[in-house]
Amino acid sequence: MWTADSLRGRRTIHVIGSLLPLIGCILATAWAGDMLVRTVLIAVGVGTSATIGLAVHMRNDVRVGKRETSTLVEIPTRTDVRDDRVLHRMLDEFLNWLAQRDEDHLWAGFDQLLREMVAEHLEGTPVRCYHVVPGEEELRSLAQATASVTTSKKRLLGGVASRVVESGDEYVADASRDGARDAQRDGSSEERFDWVWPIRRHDKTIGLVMVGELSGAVVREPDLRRAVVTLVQLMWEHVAALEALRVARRTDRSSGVLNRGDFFSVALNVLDHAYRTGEPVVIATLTLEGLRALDDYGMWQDRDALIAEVGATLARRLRSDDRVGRFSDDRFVVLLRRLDGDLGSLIVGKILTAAETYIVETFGAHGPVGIRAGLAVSGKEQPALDTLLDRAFAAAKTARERGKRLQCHDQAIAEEVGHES
Amino acid sequence: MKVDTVSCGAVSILMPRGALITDEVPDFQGEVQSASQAMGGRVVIDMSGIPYLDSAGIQAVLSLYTEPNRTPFRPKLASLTETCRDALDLTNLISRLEVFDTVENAVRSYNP
Repeated sequence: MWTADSLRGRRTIHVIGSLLPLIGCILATAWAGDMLVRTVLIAVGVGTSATIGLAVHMRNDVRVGKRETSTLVEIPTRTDVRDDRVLHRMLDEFLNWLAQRDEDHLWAGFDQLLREMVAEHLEGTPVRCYHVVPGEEELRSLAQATASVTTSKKRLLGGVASRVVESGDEYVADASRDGARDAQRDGSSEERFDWVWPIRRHDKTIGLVMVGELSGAVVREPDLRRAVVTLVQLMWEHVAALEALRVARRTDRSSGVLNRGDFFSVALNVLDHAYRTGEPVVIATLTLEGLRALDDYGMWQDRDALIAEVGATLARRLRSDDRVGRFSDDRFVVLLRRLDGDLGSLIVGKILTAAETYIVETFGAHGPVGIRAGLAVSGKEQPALDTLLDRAFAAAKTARERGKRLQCHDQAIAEEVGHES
Repeated sequence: MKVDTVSCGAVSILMPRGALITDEVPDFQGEVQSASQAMGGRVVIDMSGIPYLDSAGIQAVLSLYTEPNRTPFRPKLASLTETCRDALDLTNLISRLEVFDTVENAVRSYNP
């Protein structure tokens, strides 16, 4: 640890709460005219509970801002031109990456950028970056965080990773034993790490960066490491804010699920992946009936609460790799992966039961509102998304005609054939 | 369905690979039955290679525990993937099966 006194005569980088976000200004100015970035930077400041300011202190303890207002870490750094160059280049590369970012794969892109930056400027490789999810025993790879089709890529939380997550302190291999540094093995694998540092928010570790082999020069440069950690922390928060904005843009406000356009784009990706790997897919449509009656009776608040409740029920009951969107005012669409019709019917049936419970509690057993579902199964035929949707809507219509709460398209056809014969 | 088999003392560990769906169920059941007969029922099925199962697959897994037992022991399941665990949870069947987090724990359970 270090104190304010120990910093005298050094060039320092202060991350100071409640000061103007200097780095924000740098970024925003560099990205002239882009209001989104300005907004995001403000959001980053707010998100970290204080406006973050990065002040580069010049010689002789010249301070920017009030000492009393410092709420985050205080980072000393050497008066080394090489260090400045490293930080400058990293910032430049981050700005370039921002300008060309892929909105759909923000974290994956950031993961790659981070690995490249550490490898190039700090001679550290391999680099692993993870999200730390509270209460989970596994770390989630950044590369998988925003992929529309995810494959599990996780690391068990243990060993040095676990210690860094819990303590919030970086781990650095023993630099005094040059050539045979005391690098620690990660508890869950045989990998060894020279440098592991946490990404912190509100006194909690939200991310982890693990560097296998690190240049000996960097191991012996605590000031450079701390400056890099601070810079990456700011970049991380920036990406998190961008991701939050992206999600907010895609989300239907009333129900909290994907809006129609984004559901289609996500669903097409998922369907394409499922068909290539031969996985079955179920499309279900859920239709709320009687919403117009609520409008007619002036029960708008109840109507909005119902839509919010159905959205919440869907989000709660579905699995992490299922997708749900609001198709129209009174219709929701759900894409269920790796299920056949029977299991799909079971899941949708449970969702219907949960929604019906709310409807009965709110509007009574014989109230004006009801909910019904139609299902379509991909099977071996692998039809297009539009076809599956048409079939699911047709099944929902059949359910209504037959007074059923749930109808699968295949079953409806089978029943019709049986009826005719 | 490809099923690798490894012996661990008196226990046979089966490692099926691929989705446990209607077309694959006969192969799966055949492998489990022959291993079960050979090892007196001491069989651990490592489910980590099964990405998902359909209702026929669930039925096949359930039948391991519901069909008349001709051996002193029942097979045990280990290392279920998230999707398989979800499917068994949804059908409220997981409590009727003997499921272990790891193959090692499942093997150990035969030798308390």
